[in-house]
Amino acid sequence: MGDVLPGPRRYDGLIRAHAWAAIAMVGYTLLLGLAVALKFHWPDLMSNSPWVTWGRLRYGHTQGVFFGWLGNAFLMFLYYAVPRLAERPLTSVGLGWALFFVWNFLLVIPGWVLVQAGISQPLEWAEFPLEIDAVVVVALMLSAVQFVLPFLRGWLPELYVSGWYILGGLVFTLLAYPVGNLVPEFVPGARGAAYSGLWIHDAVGLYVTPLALAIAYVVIPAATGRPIFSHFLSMIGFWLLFLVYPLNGMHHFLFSAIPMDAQKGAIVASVYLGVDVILVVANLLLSLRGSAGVVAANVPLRFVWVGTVAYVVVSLQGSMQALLPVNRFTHFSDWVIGHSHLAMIGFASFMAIGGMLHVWERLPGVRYSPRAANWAFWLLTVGLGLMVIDLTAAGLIQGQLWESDAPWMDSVRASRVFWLTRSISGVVLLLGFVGVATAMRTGPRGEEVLADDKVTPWQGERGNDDDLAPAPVAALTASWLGKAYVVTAVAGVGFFVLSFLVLAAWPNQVLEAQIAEARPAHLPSPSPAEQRGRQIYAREGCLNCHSQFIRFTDADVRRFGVASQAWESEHDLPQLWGTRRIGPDLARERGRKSPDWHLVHLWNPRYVVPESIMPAYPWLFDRSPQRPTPEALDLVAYLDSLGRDAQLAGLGQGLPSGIDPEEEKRRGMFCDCAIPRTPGPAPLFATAQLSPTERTRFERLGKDVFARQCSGCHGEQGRGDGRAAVALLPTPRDLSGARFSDEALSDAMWRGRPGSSMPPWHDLSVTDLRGLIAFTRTLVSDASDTVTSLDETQRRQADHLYATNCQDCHGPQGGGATATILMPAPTVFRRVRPTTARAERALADGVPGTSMPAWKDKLNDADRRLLAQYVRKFYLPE
Amino acid sequence: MDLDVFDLIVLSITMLMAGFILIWWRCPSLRPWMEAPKYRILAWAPGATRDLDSKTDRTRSKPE
Repeated sequence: MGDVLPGPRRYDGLIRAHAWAAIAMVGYTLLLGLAVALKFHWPDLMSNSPWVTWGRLRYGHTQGVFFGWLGNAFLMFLYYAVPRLAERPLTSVGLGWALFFVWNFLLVIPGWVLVQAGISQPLEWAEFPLEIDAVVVVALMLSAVQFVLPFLRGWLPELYVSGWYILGGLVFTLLAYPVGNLVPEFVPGARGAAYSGLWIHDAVGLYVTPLALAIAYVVIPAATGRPIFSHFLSMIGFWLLFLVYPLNGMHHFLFSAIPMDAQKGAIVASVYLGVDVILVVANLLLSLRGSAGVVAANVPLRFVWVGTVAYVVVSLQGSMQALLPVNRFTHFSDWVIGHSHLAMIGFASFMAIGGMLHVWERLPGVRYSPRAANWAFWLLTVGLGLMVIDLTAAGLIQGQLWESDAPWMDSVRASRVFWLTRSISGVVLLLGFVGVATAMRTGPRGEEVLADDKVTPWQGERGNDDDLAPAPVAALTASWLGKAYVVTAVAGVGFFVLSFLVLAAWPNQVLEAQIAEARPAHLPSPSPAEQRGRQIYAREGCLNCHSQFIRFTDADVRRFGVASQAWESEHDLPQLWGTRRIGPDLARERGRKSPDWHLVHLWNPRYVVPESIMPAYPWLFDRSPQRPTPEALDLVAYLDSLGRDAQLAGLGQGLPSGIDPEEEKRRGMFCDCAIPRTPGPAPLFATAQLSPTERTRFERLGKDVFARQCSGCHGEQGRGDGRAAVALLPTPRDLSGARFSDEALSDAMWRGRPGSSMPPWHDLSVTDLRGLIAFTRTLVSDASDTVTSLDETQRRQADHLYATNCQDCHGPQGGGATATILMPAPTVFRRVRPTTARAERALADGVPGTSMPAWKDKLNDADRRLLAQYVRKFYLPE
Repeated sequence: MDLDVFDLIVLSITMLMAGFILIWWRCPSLRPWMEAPKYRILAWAPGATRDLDSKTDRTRSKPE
């Protein structure tokens, strides 16, 4: 259709199509992002359908930004820029429409549908499934044919820096995409993570960055009418970028089991990248010297200017994040989310919008409103600033709390206000993009171009170009230097190979040898149920919030256990390490929570953790937490398998890995962290000696903590009738049915109650624990439930009944058996005095889910009543 | 000599940078060739020396 138009204008139709596709898709992508943000405040929002669950929306959001928005915006710009840069027509308009169809209707839209349907790939920046990966490779090949061949056909003696970036970006991505997306499907765990790390950074650094910089280098001279400051500097920037950026990838996995040499390489490359970006940005900003008025008046140029500033800020931030002391603190936190939004909105999107509007206002026959564009600029700038500052601050606070021993929920609670601000900033950003669309739909129409306009189309039809260049160039262009970029293109491929070897293939080889040596023999393979559960975990995007990667840092080891070893994830295909923690790490989840707890938590996390922001997964159940589907059971089986190998290998007990410590250190598997703290015998959080005033204060505090942490299972009145109780076995204790000693409560809260769903709460502060104990003791109302004295006959009979039927489990004099293997452990009556009614009920009916049987068929009513009175006498008051 | 990845990266970047600077310093005749492409793109800008595609490059912004 466009072929009838002369010169570069034949691509106007494609430019318009990609521009509107970009606008439509960024709208949808931002709605996905906004839904993701709002679910932080209302986790039950749209929670009944798996199609719109948090994890799947998050997958769609990132891929939508990458392919739907930026992909289309860049393609739009390429149709404008490449014919002019190469001074040759593109390969074919027909190919352009084929690429448009493939990109949007075979890649982005099906990718979104598949991800929402639960068919995805759990890798950062690679969330679309393998089927879509194949389409991406085809689309990238079509892009290369369309946009690279004109340069090769042209053999230009002078290739402008934007052309270099376009060539580099398209060719490098074509090489890097399959490596980052396919290899981790075949190489498991830590070894696969090395390849993933490569792509995470290549996606941003070698697709988004080159094309965004190509825009900047076009818009700035075109808008100001002046050449850039130095083409030489721009070329240094280009080559450093392509040498250094691919080597950055591993900095997403610092403090990991990946060889320290590779990590150090990524750190130094990150620092060099910061230096390179200073060079590039200095050149761009120097190109704008004396053009402040133009920047102020020309909205597309202003977008590019802000994008340039954002580029240097985000890059220096990235370099800083790669330094170990900063990474230790900020990684996994919202700081990184702020960083990625600064990169993808502040840098890439501002550049893309600048490029789009720059092209749009030059496009004949379309409407363009500078006024609306100006509004869009300010909305987007305000939204960006708000979001980035907010998330950066949130990340610092989260990092601080994670470094401390504060309970995990403290960081969630502290983040709420920042997440609210993030949602508001998201709305502002959405309005900004509406402004961009408005700018492209309103305002005066551009002048129509008639088909018979005289336009100078391509080189060869134009005559001699050499009059443009300074004198010595004419001689040089005829020499081999004229084709130097072909030689350097080979060097570019060499850079890719270098990064592949240094950051992926070599660590893979080292890890393979380490794993072969360190992995204990005879570890069980994951069961089929666990494997299916793993697929569900990946499908629902659990890794977006839960890492499975305990770093070699003090804070991680203290909180989650011994650092993750490379051999532990050898069954992980692809790896599920994750790059963000909204919830706690799950690498050592086994045994921490009961399967019942996990099931209720999946049905509705607020049932067991009242302040949780985790989404519910009701579609894994048949309308009730008591009726889990096989998928829910599989997922719980998988969760309960996490860390099993480490337990079997004795890692939790501080047993050596089997490698000589010096050898470990030499290989970079060093750890400067403390031995993991395991909750041993509980300290006594005594409340008996509190003064009445203190007691009241602690009880008030405890009531709040109880409402936040305990009411989901035990109910608000502590009667064991919380929302989760129906699905837990044994049912949560009725705290109003017994008087508990400080010692009993201290022990239960410190270690949990193994064999039940009561988890340990040793991460709560001492004050909170003492408050909880003080409050719990108020729940029982046994003032009128006096201990009946027994006469000699009754006592003898009770002694006999107890010794015959109860003592083996409950111990002599209710002191607890010394070597019981029963879980939950039988009640120690010296520490727990049930009410008479409660004791009689337990004796008659037993306690479901425990080893306490029903005695109503073996003991008559009188004997049971006698025993109920008898066991109450054992209690030792403080 | 036992080179690790750290050394390799520092070395290669240093050599690349040194190469660029050396060429700039030792081959002044190449400088115009290196800078020439930045003038070529001005052909697109309004009021530039050559009008590659006058209609398509007409802007509706009003600078200054």
